Amino acid sequence: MGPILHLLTYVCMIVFVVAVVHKFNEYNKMPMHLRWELYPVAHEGKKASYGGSYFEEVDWWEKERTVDMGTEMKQMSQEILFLAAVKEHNPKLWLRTFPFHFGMYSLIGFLMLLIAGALLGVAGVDMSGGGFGTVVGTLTAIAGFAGAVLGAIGALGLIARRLFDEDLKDFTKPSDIFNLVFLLSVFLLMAATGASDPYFTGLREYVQSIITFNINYVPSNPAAVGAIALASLVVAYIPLTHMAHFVVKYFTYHNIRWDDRPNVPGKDPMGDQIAEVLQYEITWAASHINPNGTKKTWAEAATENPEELKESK
Amino acid sequence: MAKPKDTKLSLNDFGKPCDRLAHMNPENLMPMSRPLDCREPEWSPLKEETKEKYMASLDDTLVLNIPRPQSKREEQELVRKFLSGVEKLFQKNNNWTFLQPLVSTVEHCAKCQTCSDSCHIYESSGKHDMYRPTYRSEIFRRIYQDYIHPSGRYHKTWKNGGEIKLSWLTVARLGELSYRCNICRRCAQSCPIGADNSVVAREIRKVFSQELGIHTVELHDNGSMLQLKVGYSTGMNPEIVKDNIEFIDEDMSEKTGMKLETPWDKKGADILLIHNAGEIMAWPENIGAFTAIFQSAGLNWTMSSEALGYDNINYGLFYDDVQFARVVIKHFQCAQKLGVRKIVFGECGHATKAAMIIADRILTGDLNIPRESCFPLLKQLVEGGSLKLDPSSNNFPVTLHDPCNLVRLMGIVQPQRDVIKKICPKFREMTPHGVNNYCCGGGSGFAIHSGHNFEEWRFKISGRKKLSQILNAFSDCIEPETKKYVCAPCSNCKGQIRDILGHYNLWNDAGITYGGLVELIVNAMTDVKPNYIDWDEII
Ligand code: SF4
Ligand code: SF4
Repeated sequence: MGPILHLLTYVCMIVFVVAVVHKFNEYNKMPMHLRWELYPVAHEGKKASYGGSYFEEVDWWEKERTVDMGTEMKQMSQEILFLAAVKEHNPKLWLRTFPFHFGMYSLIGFLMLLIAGALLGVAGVDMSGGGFGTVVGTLTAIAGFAGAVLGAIGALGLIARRLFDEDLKDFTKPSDIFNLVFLLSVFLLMAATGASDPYFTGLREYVQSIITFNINYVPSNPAAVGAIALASLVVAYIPLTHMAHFVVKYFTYHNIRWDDRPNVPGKDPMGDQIAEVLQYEITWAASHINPNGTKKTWAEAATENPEELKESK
Repeated sequence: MAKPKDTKLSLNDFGKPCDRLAHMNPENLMPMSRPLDCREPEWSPLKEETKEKYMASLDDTLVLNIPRPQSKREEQELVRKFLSGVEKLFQKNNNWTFLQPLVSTVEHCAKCQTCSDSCHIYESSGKHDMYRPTYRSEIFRRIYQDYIHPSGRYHKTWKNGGEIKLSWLTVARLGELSYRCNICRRCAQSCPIGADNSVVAREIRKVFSQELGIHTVELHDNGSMLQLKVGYSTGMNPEIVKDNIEFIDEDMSEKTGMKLETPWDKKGADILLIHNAGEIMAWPENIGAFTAIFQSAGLNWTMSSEALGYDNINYGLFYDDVQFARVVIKHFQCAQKLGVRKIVFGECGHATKAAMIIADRILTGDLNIPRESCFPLLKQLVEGGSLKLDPSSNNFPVTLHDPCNLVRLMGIVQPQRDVIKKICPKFREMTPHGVNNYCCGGGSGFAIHSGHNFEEWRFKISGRKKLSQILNAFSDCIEPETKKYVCAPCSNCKGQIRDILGHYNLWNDAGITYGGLVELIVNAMTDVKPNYIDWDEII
């Protein structure tokens, strides 16, 4: 049992890392696209409060462009931690999705604390002997319970909404329900583990066994074994689904919505990239683009006169 | 409150053969305030011969005019070409322009529907399912995932909740549905993931144009093609344009008492001013006002008389990346020849965004000429004291429409407000405004589409929210005796607002008219004849 459980966890950890790196690379390797920003752009500093941009200045290209990472970080953290956009635009959904996401964040915190506790254990610190070990142990318990309970409430709310809400029903796929039920079972097993082992000692010892490759260790609590198995699988599964939006959001915000980097006239910082994409071959078949099916690049297509193409047809 | 039954439409019904898939029942439309707090009339029906000739079974109107296939082979050909186009959208060589925004939206939308309530078209229709921002995207997504994505055939039901029946009708309806979105991107603003359903609408339009050669006559044949052929999308060549502007100079000289003279082709000028040349025919007083302001302020400016150099329109922005690039390159070649220091765009949102933002990653080297919107410059002139102004000339209620392209999509929010606040003592904002504004309903080229009964759709559905905002902004003075002005500093928006005010007879019934920003400035200038905005001329 012990080796199988450990193997599962190791494999799932590897799948998670590989899938996240793959997803990141997939987006990162995409070519430059046309500008498509959407205001407010968070790093516009004071102007961000009303959605303004550097285009509000006469001769904007001659002025020093300031990128305020402070306002960007502030907005990012509000978005990530509190799901600010959902709260503003869909408060009914927020009541369900906020506990769900916060539950997950708490469980990530819980995992970090388990790792901290496991390392303290490796260093010989007694987790129940008062002092630092106890602080970590108590925080672990709080994060574990909070994560499990909030996550379960959120997941139940989201399942009900997906199944019964008029606006969502038609768009709900079997995989959406499966994903939520999958996560719900992890939250519930985590809660069950905590119910019989409030300081999650079994889980901490398991994390310690993962770090020390003690592959024969098996927690005595069956709920903990179930939680470990399912949580491992969830970790591997999430980046393979549309739930990988935690990676993609980086691109939708930084590369699209907030990407207002100008190709400043006179400086042309993107000249090389533009030259590269304009050499891509284009195979669009409409008669105003390529009536004869000849090979051509974007640069060629963009400088052709479609009237002459008509004649050459 | 339960949704009326006739606002519901399942995704699985999209390919269902029937005469009309969705009807926007006038009973369900978003209610309006005084004086439009009454029921809308029924839709004018599409003609029988239209229905025979084109796929006209989406809703109550028609704009794309996709010919009905005449044989099984033609049906299959339509589907084949469509799939081939969709495949190209996901290839970096064919679609580097929008690959990342498209893939992120297709793969990661959570279908949470947070965006639905942000859409004025969805809200105005009485929340009809078909007009949700996500509806067309989901049909597109399922087609992509089922028929293009390598793993599609294995997990149709699991991942997509059911297979979309792919027929010529599904394809043609999806094409038509891509023209029920203003591409205003208000929905994208509310998306927590950063997905953008407007991109999907635009990419579908691109497949139809770039692969199938199907586009609206207004945007393509009479739009970008004509512009590339003769220089301007109404067919006016450089000579005719120069004559017309000369005539405007004379007319507006009389109106202002100034001796107005548009400078042409001045090499090395500080500013090349490019108008939306639609103003020449429709709103000559806007062109005249720019001339009056630039001349009074002593600016070193010019217009170009070269084909395309006098017309900033770029309809490719709405449906075709290649046409977009062709037009923008011509615009900048004109500026390059004159060797101007910078280009300033007149009051036109889509053209300003096209040239400043979208073209920013197309133009390099000598073609990458500095360019800006006219609003910051106007603010500088108004605040800097180079114009003598008396705000009391504008002592009537004024509200400001925020053109999506300039405001939400470029972040030019404050300069036009600063101008208006300085010269219009009775200015009031719409609710909401700035980057949260609603589209006028003419966005993405709709303002120039009126075929069949599409104009009705612009009035009843896409323009409804804006009109409601206008009425609400003037609710304290809605009686026709108080003359009111909607400042719409964008040609497309102005056209839509003109049409919608006219359709509902709101000049006579509520005393509401419209115009640009520069007309208000000239109306407040003390060294020109009074009444540049002439209420008696409004009919
Ligand atoms: S586009 Fe965004 S807001 Fe709309 S359904 Fe998808 S994830 Fe939700
Ligand atoms: S882009 Fe505008 S019109 Fe289109 S779906 Fe979004 S909100 Fe509606």
